[in-house]
Amino acid sequence: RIQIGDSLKIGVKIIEGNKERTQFYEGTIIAKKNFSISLAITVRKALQSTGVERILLLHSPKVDTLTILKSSKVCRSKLYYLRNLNGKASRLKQQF
Amino acid sequence: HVRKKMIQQQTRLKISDNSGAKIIKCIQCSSGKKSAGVGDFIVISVKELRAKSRATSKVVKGEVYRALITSVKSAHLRKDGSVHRFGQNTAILTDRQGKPIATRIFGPLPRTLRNNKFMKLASISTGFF
Repeated sequence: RIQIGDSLKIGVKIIEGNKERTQFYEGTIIAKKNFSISLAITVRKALQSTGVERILLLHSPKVDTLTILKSSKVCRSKLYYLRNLNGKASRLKQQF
Repeated sequence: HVRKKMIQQQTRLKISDNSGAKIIKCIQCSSGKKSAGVGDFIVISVKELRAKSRATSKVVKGEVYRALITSVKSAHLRKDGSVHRFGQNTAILTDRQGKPIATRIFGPLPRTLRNNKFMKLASISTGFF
């Protein structure tokens, strides 16, 4: 089961020219919206001094693989406060 | 999901290439539209140059150029239903035909810019995201 605060590695199918391959996208979940088949998660990642967020529909055929790297202890259902924090201040406490 | 394109007249954008400019201001969106998004061309004027490259910069402060928007803070939709949001509004400077002036591009580029139209971007950027 996927929860808020998890670090995920998602494989997404992309088409480059004529070939199809999977590209991996890593990040922490900051929001989750349940709509049965339109279940959408927002994954945030810090890339070269800017943050990038991506909203993915999990039941789409383009989403290939999903591995959970680590879980965190959070006290919110949406972690939008992480947008104002950088580096060490944006670390989450790990839950085992 | 927000479905608007958000770059308009008077919007300030950052430059993510090594042409010497730092902050630009949008004067006009392409072909008379009211707003622009990723992959659109805009007419801009340079507001600030990078301090270290003032001697070697390829652009002049106050001049009018064209630019291609590469990332926006509002939602940039993909056709499979996913959405991208970046931390900054950025653009790269181009000439009148749409070819980039600079030799290197920093930062992530969205994958919708990987077309036959923007072939040169693939060779000077760090990769598509």
